[in-house]
Amino acid sequence: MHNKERAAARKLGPLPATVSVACFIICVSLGLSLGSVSIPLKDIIASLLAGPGAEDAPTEHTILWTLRFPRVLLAFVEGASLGVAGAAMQGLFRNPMADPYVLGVSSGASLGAVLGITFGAGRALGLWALPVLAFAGAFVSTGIVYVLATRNGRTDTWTLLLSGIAVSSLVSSLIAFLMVFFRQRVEEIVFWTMGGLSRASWKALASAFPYALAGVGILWSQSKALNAFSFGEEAAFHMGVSVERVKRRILWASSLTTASCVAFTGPIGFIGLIVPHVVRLFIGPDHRWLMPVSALAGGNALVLADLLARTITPPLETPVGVITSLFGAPFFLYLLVKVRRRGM
Amino acid sequence: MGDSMIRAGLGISVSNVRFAYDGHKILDDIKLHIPKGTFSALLGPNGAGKSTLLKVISGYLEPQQGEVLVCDKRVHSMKDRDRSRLITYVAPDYRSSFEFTVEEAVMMGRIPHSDSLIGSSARDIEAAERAMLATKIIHLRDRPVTALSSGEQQRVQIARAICQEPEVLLLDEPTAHLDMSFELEMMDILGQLVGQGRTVLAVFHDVNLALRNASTLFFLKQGELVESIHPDRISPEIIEKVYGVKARILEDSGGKFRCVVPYSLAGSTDTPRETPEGRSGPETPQVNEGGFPVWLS
Repeated sequence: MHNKERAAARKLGPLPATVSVACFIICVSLGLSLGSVSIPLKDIIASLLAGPGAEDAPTEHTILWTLRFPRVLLAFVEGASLGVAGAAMQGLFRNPMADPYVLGVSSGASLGAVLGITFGAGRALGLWALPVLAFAGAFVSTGIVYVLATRNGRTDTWTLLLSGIAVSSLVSSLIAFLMVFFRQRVEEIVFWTMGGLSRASWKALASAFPYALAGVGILWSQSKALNAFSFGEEAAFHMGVSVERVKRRILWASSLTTASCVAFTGPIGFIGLIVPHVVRLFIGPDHRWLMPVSALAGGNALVLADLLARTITPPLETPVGVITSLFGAPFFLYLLVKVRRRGM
Repeated sequence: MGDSMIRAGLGISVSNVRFAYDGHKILDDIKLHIPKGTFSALLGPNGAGKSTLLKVISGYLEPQQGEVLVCDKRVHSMKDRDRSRLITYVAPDYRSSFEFTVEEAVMMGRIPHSDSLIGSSARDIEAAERAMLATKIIHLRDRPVTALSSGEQQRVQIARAICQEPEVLLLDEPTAHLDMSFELEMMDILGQLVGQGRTVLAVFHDVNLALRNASTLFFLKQGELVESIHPDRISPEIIEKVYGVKARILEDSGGKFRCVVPYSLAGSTDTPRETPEGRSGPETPQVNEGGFPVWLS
């Protein structure tokens, strides 16, 4: 019965897109409107129409243009990137447990970015250097996990998860080392590794966005190949997919997508795991639709998670990584039990 | 016949192929030539290298030595996309990790034909429709492939291969998970493909199925091609040489059907068990009087 319903849902046509866009408008409006100061929707629209440089503007206008707009947008871009990177990795590894956070890709990206922070790369080279360093870290860790977990074109769930754990703990210890050696930056690093959007700015958004957009675009263009991968690399080869080339492309594009955001906000867990999974339940596994809908849904999810993060413990802010893990970790365990029952 | 005459119009041409994996020799000096528009069977005991040979022909495995031509083109130097419009391979055990519907899985056969990154053309949809009709899975089109039986999943993969519209189809045990009626249906489908001028080379576990349907039988043993025969030429000697088994060849009165019945391992002194008609003994390898009601009816 459940299967029939899902199959029927697949033929709904424009409905998933409509629902996603409606959710986008609702989530972004909520994210902009709520916070330490509540701003009614009509003021947001007025402020938006007035533009950033309006004179004699009320405080709300300043709050919106300097804090909320970049923050909500960065949350959306990051959530969207994580959603798409998660979908691509699950497709590549043919495994619903894959996700940039679980596989240690986010940790790898963190290490790159932390190195940047400690050695002052953010200042000397400018903000754009952070995503590049994060990308290098993400790429190396993805490569390690891939080589460890894939044999003869098949990926074993347990090896995959264990490789992810191993890479994550290696990276954590390296970051801990950096903290011991660079005590004056401990606070900065600790806050950063918890994952949060409090330092969002237009500059950060402008630096993250091009990388995220490129990564998402490349991943989306590999949709048909990823669909074929579902039957294994050998089957994909016989359907005309250039297996090795597609694999490399997905590895570096998903590293890029993950890194673009981790560089500014630290690792944020489980969005890449949960979002594609839930979207798949509604619209099916076809990556051509799974990726764009996961992008929208991931963006929405992180905007909401960030809204919770900054409103549930006033006046303090909870790191958004704590919120996503609060929801994500139990979901991860549920998936683990489900995958084990299916004997994957 | 001169060599050039043999090569004209060949679907598959394998010359002097050697393949080793991790230093173990798997295929040794294989030569075989298959004309276009024919149905050939690849037979032999477990571990003879049948699947490996198919994967070498399909381009998936690269031989250390020798050359494979498919429709006069060198498979191993073709682009992935061009190659898979010419040839495809179906394993008995392709399983999806995600719940694609049957229709979506069959449509994957259009990947090498489509120029669009995202969309599907009317021709793609039509080809998928025809493939699902031919393999009788159209009623399953909206079902997730992960919820199908192994036999149904196998038909989905065959449908995917048909939807791909290649000149040459390589099938590894296409009847592995099928019951008797679907086995016959599958043979029907393959017959139609051959009728359209496509070349089919299939690995069979069941010698009798190959005997009834293929026009050439290739026997592999320990990586070597030991016999290539017309089905009429099947003999107990060949079966013993290839499988190490003593067998009788039964034939109906019209001489239309032949059937290999193994009765003991070569080297053992067992005599065959009594047949329903009471005839027995390895000294009468052919029973030609007819009257085998099971398969004459």
